Formats: sequence, C-alpha cells, structure tokens
Amino acid sequence: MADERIAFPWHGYYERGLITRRQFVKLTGLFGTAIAAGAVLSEPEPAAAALAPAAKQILRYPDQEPLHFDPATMEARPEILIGMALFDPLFTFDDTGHIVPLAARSWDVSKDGLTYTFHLRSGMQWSDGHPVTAADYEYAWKRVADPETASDYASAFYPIKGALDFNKGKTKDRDTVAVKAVDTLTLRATLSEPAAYFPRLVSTWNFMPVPRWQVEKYGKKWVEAGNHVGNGMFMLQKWEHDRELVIVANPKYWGAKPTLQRVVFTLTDDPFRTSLPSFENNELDVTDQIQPGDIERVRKSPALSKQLQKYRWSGTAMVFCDTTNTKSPLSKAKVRQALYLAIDHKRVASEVLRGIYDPAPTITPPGTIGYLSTPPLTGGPDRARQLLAEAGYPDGQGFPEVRLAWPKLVTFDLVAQALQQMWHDTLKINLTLQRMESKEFNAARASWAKQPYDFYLSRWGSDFEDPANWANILFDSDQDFFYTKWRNDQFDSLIRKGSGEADPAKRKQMYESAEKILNTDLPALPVYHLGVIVAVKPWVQGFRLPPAAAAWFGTFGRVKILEH
Amino acid sequence: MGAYLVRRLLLAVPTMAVVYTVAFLLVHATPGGPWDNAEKPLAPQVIENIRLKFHLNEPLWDQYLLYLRDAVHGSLGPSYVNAARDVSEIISDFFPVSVQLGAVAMVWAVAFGIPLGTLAAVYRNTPVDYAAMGIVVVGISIPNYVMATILVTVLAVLLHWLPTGGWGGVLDLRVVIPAAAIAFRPGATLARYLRTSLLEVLGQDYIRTARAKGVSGRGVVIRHALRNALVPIATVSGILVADVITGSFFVETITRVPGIGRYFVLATTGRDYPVLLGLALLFGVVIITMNILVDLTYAALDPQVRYE
Repeated sequence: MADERIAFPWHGYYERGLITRRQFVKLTGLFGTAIAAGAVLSEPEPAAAALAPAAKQILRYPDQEPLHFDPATMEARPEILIGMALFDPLFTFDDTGHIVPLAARSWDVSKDGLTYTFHLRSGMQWSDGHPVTAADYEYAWKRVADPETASDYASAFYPIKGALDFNKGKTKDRDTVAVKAVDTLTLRATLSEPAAYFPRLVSTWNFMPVPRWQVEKYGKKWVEAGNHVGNGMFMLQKWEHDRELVIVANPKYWGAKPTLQRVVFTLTDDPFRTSLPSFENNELDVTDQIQPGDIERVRKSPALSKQLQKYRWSGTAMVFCDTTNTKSPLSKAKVRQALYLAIDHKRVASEVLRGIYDPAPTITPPGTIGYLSTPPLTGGPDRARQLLAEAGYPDGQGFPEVRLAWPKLVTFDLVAQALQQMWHDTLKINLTLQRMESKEFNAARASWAKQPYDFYLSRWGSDFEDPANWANILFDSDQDFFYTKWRNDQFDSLIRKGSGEADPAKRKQMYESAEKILNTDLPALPVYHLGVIVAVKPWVQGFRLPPAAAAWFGTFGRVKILEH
Repeated sequence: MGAYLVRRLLLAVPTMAVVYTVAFLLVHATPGGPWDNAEKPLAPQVIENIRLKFHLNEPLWDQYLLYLRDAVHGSLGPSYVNAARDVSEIISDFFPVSVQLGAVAMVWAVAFGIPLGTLAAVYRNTPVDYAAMGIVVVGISIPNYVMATILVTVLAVLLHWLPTGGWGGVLDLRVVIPAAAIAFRPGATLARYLRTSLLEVLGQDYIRTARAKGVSGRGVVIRHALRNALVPIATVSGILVADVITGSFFVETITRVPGIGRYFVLATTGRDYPVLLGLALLFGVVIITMNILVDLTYAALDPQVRYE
C-alpha cells in the first residue's frame, strides 16, 4: 500500500504539458485541503447521526450464572458486574481513579480520623418507589457483619468499631456495630483505628444498601426477578436461571438516564469457551472472555482483530515463597532475588501470554498508590547468576529440588513452564512442577499456613485500587494472607502508619518506601500484571471495563448502540 | 407382573441407600471444601460462621444422618455455593431440560441408528455395510463434547446456519446442535448392536421358511426379523437413555443448555455437597427406573419372557 502512488486526474494533464507545474501543485494542494477538511468535518458524524433508536438500545453480553444480587454476600465477578448496575454505592471512581460522590454527595472525617459522616443525596428512590435513606445503609452494613448472614466479606467491615466482636458472636446486639443513621440522609460510622482508605472501601459492593422490607418479606428469595429491588441505574427485569438475565433502565433512578435501555446477559458456565463463537455468530455484542489459546486466531482474523480492545486489570500474578522453610533455598533472600532477576518479564508477557497481560517488574500494580515504575533490583541474568553464587549455589550446583505448585489455570500452566525453562537456562537449576485442581490446591495452601513448602503461583486483583488492598492484606506479617511467613518490621511499621495517614503525599511516600522493601526482599516474585482483552462489535460505543471491581459502576451506563 | 414390580421397587431402596452412603463418603473425602476460594482466602472467623450455618462443624456421622433425615422428608437442603437456592429447586428447574434434550437426542438416535443398522445387516459385506459401519466407528469413537464443538464451529461460526447454543424447548432451533452431538454416539451404538442382532435373526430357520413361502425381502426384514432383533437392543437402549439424560454434562456446557449435567460439573468443582448428593440420588433413581423399564419392555417384545 505504501508503494502505491495516488494518480490524480490532473497528473496526466501536467505530463502532457496542458497545465503548468505551479497549477499542478495548486490543484493538488486544494484537493488535499478539501479531503482533510472533509475528514475533520465528517469524523464525528457517524457516531452522532447513527445512534440507534431507544428500542434498539440493547446490549447482549455473556456472563456466568450469578449466584444472587444480595450485596451482603456478593463476592465474584458475575454478581459484582451486574450488581453494581442494580445498586448505587456511596461513591464511585472517575477515569483517573479518584473518588467521586454517587449516593453520598459528600463526607466528613473527624480530626482523629475515626468518625466518618456520609451525607446522602436527597430525592433518591428505590426501584419500587421507597425513598433511599441512611437507615437502609445502616441495616445493610450491620447485616453483613451479622454472623447469621455468614458473609464471605464480613472481614471488610472489621475496621468499623464493634463489627469484629459482633461477627465473632461475642455479642448478639447488632447495635454495638458503630454505624448509625443520624437522620434520614446522614450516616455515621466510627472506626476502631484511623483508615485513610475507608471511603474507597465503602465504594465496594458489600457496602451497598439493601431494601429491608423485601429481605424480610421474601427471605433468601428476595434476590429473584420480581422480588428484587435496587437503587441503581438499572433494575432486574428477568432472570431465567442459567439461560438469560435482563436488566432494564430504572425509571426511578435519581441520576442521568442511560442511553442503553436493556442489557441481555446470556448465562453460561463456561463463557471462556462459549462466548467467542457466539460473538462471531452475532449472538453477542461484546465479550470479555477470550482465552489465550484463541488470541492468535482472533488477531489474524481481519474482522475480529479490529474489534479487540485491551484493558489494564489492577492485579498481579506472583510466585509466593515460603521465607522460613530453612530446608528450601527460597528462604534465602539472595536466591529469591536471583530467581527474580532471571525472569524475562517482557518475554513472559509478550510471547508466553500473547500480550494479554503486561510485564510486572514490581508487585503493586500501576494505578495504586505505592506503585514503583522502576524496580529497586536491577542487573538482569548476570547479576542473577552472581547472587545465586553468593547464596552458595554457583552455577546452580547443590541447588536442591524445589517444587513450584499452582492451581489449574491456562495462564499459570504456561507461565510455570516458562519459568522452569528460564531458570534452568540462566541459573542451571531444576524445578519440579506441580499442577493441581483448584480445590486440591486451595486445601494444600491452607495447610501451608503451618507446614513448610517451597513456592507457588497465585494472583491477586484489587477490589479497590488502594495499597490497603495490597500491602496491608497480603504482606502485613500479622495477616500473612498468602502464607509467605515473611516478617519485616520496617515494612509493617510503614504500611500500618500508611493505612491511617490522612496526608496523601506522606501516605504515598510511606507506601513507596514499603514497596521498595517488598520488591528487594521479594517474599513474592512478581511475574505479570493482569489485563483483559475484550471483543466489541463496531456498533457498540463507549464500552470499557475499569481496572478494579469497585469501579464497575456505570459500565453499562456509558454504552450506546449505533444503528447497524 | 405386579408382584415383580413391587419386588424390584423394594430392592431399589437398599440400592439407593448404598448410592447415598458411597456418594456422601466420596464427596467428603475429596480435598477442599466449598469455601476454599482460589483467589480470596477467607478470614478465619468468616469460615467459622459459614461452617456453623451449614452444620459443617458437626461430626461427619451427624452430618450424614442430618442430610439423610431431610432427604427422607423430601428436602435436599440449600446449595452451599448458591445459598439462595434449594437443591430441589435446582433439580426441578434443570432436570426437565436434560430430560427433554435427552428425549430429542434419543429419538434422533433411534431414527438414525435403526435404519443404519438394518441397512448394514441387509446389505451385509457390501459397500453399503462398510459405509454404515464406518459411520458407526466415527460415532462411537468421537466423544460427544468434541462433536458438539465441531458442530458449533461448522454450523454456527462458519456457516451461520444455527445459533451456537441456548435453550428454547424441543421445537426450537437451538436444540439441533446439542441433540445431534448427543445422539450420534447412542445412534451408532444402536446401529452396531442391531446389525449383529439382525444378522443372527436373518440366519434363522423361520426366516428361511418365510422367504420360501414367498414373503418379499422387505416384508421379511420388517415384519419378521426386526421385531425379534430388537429384544437385545432394548437392553442397550435402557442404558443409553440413562446415559443420554445424565451424561451430557459437557455438551450442555459447550452449547449453553441449562440442563442438570452442568450442575453436576459445577457442584463437583465447587464441592457443593448437598447438590452432589441430590444429583447422585437423582441419577440413581433414573438408572434404576430405566433398568426396570427395560425389563418390562422385554415382556412386551418377547412373549416368551414372563415375570412372576
């Protein structure tokens, strides 16, 4: 294409001497200007002119069968994605990741950082016409902390004073949980210690309100279509289990009405395998479920390749090491550093994972406070070999057998094999691979809290983009979420102070310092940051998936369907 | 006949007790519990609350009796994975879909298997026979989920003739791919058995007599041979029907049919004990019922068979 010359009609005239060179240049210039002007003027036209009528504002999207839309016990993608269209959290996030008010119009924090007062918007209604009040939030929050509810996410409420004791059953009095509706539009929560991340935490789905009258009337059946009532932009219209779920624009919604009138979710257990064929057969408008095995074919397809979009997903896949198992060389920081430096992160991301995911030279993902754009450790394979020698294994000699385990997942399978190869090529060490069924793996991992192991592959994704959702959960030595048994007092002190620090600049500095310690001592070796490839039909405008689940609110509110 | 049926039904009770006990022990012996989440391990207190709610803190023996007591009273309890739904609801929602899909597949299997087997037997050792048996070998050797994937790729993605999946009842277009994928194997199995059985019957004296009396070739096969040849086929059919109804797990997943098979897979991977036990009991009932029906069919097909 680049070699082809554009033959203007007047080119022949010039060659035959019928027009002068000056006239030829003028004509060409005029022609070029006209084309450029036309392009500029006509560019927005297809989008503006071709918006489909309201009756056609329907988006067809694949999802797994959700369990329910009860904010108290929602925990996985299918529920959260739809649930955040059915309910308004207090806050949501803008495109830069900053908090913006939603159901709450503002909030105050007491000087000691312990009391948060949320002021709700006035005039909000539930989809059945009830007014939305602070009491709805109070009821909902206490309900999650209630041991009877047995919510997986009850621990997210532990920062609130009294929530842990109530959840433990130490008291039966739910009013000991320090959440109170001061009046119809004011909600107050008191924390047991300062937590600067609290506004981000309350933006997550488990803090959304529930309609008490429906819960009490229908019990666990309140989540079915017909009984379900929400306060979000959309409402649940139809739910044929395992077949189809439909949400429609909520006419009682307080805010801007979405252009999209309906979202029809095709429900399937295995969207990874079934949604791409359905997308190709025009049964779906969007799919975010494309497996690595399909990527090459999709990229080579002239039509499909133009319909792909790639998004950052706030998460990291890491190799977690047992730092106290003295029988394992991985207990030595130098060995972990050598292994880290011997990983070719770019190659893993581009070749092994086909560019779906991005290289992760550091643990905390971009977009989160504390993220380091350059890793503290450098030097590549040469430094890796040197460190391994310093650790007592020159050229890999004497390096005992170590076992890398992971739960069955296509990307982990590929990555584990690549790591085995890279470490063998660079450090001349051998690795035993142990792929496990996920439940078997989880049972094994639970036992690693007390028993020794070498290392395993796992990943963590942000619920909300804040270091409290990373450093404080995953690597605080008291929490030890991934059983690395790593302890670093300086790190602990930094992140514990950081979680309550109200000054954003100081907070950032603390978490960056903590991140440097973490990425130098490496209880976990970062491998790749998560991402998602989405296929979108050309007539779908405005679709994008924010990088963390707490920001999914508004995903369907932005979408418009063009005439097609 | 009545006494025979009662005896068979009474015998089903200890069989079901064994099914329940074995299933209970097996599901509890597999590593990992319903709340061992891959991505987000839970806080200890949270796990404790869940265990209390679902009686998982009680001794295994008590759990066994507790579930058995409820099951005898007709309650299969809530699903652990989806606590908003009861197992009996899940079964009543999705089992009929599997039965309908299985019925369509079985009708197609018979419609395809019986003529194929008959042709192969009648045109024994001719190209027709070889072609028919070639189809049979393909049908038996290709697993139904592979067949489903091939059909989806060719008929939906490449040719755009049919939807990739979903469910709209037995007369909806979406039934075609899953039913064809499931039907191929039992159809081929029927054809193979029928060919053997028919060849045996066609070689018998009474057929020769019928031919000698001048009954036409087609008449002999249809009126005299086929009926007798179908007796052994009835045995296979019973197993095939049970297999088609309970064994289409992966086809249902690939073609998005909301059948019970998918729940079996989900319940297994999710360690959803009540659903697994409920389905083990259900499948036990299906298989026992099919066996009884097959035995009764013998009597209808072969006057020599009498049950006392």
